[in-house]
Amino acid sequence: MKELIIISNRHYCKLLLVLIYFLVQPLLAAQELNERVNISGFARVVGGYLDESNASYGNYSNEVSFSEQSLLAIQADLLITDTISASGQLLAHSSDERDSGIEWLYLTYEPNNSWLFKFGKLRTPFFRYTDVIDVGFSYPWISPPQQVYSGFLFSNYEGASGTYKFNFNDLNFDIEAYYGTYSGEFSRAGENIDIEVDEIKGIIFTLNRGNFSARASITQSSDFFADFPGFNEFSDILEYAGYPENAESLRFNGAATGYQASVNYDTLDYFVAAEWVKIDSELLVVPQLDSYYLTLGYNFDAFQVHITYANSDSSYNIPENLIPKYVTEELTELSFIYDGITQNLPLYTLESLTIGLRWDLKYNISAKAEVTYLSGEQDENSFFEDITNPDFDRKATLYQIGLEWVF
Amino acid sequence: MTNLIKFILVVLALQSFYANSIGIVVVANTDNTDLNIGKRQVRDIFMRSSSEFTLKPVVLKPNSEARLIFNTKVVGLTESRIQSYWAQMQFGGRKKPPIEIESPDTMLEYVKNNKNTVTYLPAHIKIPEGLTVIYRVD
Repeated sequence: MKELIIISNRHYCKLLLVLIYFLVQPLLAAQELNERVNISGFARVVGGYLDESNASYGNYSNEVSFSEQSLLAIQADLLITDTISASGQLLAHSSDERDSGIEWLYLTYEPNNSWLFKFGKLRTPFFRYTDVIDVGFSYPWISPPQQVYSGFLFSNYEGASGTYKFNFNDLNFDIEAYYGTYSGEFSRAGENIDIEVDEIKGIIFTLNRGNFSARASITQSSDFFADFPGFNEFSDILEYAGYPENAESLRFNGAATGYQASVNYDTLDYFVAAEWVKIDSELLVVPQLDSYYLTLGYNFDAFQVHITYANSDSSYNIPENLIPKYVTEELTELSFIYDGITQNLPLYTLESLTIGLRWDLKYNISAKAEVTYLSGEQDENSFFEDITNPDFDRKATLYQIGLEWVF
Repeated sequence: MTNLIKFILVVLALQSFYANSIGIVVVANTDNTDLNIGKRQVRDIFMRSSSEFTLKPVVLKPNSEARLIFNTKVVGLTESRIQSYWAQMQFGGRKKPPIEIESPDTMLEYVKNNKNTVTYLPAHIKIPEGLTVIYRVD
């Protein structure tokens, strides 16, 4: 059954393409095609430099790089009937860490003003900007706070989502529920691991009143299958030796749950925003995380200046090591290996302050510049990568410039 | 030389705009000719955050004077922030931005020919019969 699901997942996109083709075919002959197709897109060119030679951060090192976040995406929306449309988004990314290709491919069914359904390959809407993380134009920063947006979970899923919208007492509410699966790569601390998640489910509440908005969501991912070299074998050995609890902790049988809450208030002159997220994880590959940021921005003429404070704290759900030391040589060795794995998991305490400027050159083109002061914990990863010197104090400054475009 | 004249005209136009901004009217092609709604409801229709009204918004292109006034006085957001909002909605697959039309005259034609559409126009434009003014900004 599990294999069957995995096979059907892999063919999901192809099936969807075939379905769209048959739905669209009668239209292709029609004269009015132009009116039914809408092509849009976005692009960004981002350059960054980290003033630190002992580590990198967000793939930026002490050499200026323009190839970590620069990208171009094209979206096509095709109106099939008055209530059904098909959308696809193709993305070309400059980073080696990111695949280029189809990011979104889905059918939308909007029977009326209150209901919206989507089916297909979608971006996972974990947090406020997760599903538009590539659309730099939609948020004030060049790089959203990594403490929240570093992507511990995965970027997309295949499945369905349903949204119900209603008004109550001058408040506008949206409730969205989604369900799906994921099969692909998962990156953690610069390593890519093949992963399959057979159940991703979530619910999002949003509330709007004028220029005030609030969002709260819960997402749960479970039924993992991950190809983490060495983990499965070691886990089998522990099971065989009679330590099922410790063995279990190295498998991916648990769930990871993300909680999120955010508020935002905008006026002509200024804006304030805050977001808090918590990841509760039973898996050693996903840390337990508590993160938040606060942003304050001021608009003047064609400029916006903003300041963001962000912070994070992490831990792991590690069961007590029940494997005795110094009873037998074999058990002692197993016990030390177990400690070696569980005590060297990367931790992510990081405090940061970002000051940025956005300049709207045109209504659809913005230039941005930003400086981020990073201060992590010694002995932790603190979101730094490629740490070459263990004495590195986990303090660095990231400078970025960018150009954002939507069309 | 013509460029210079154009430039002077634009500066003069902008000055007169800031000195004395024009009024706008929100006009709908609806069967409910008694419809008269509040500012927040108008805002919600144009930001597509309301499920209450089935009116489909149509807007003037950026840089038009009526749009600037509508953004400032009704939506209460800068053009940049509104564009960011639509980028998030469109590329996040949640809502599509309203259709944009170049000139008030073409706009009037469009709304006249399409039932249940709504737009905003400079107040001095003569509103033909069959369309309903649902909100005014003086």
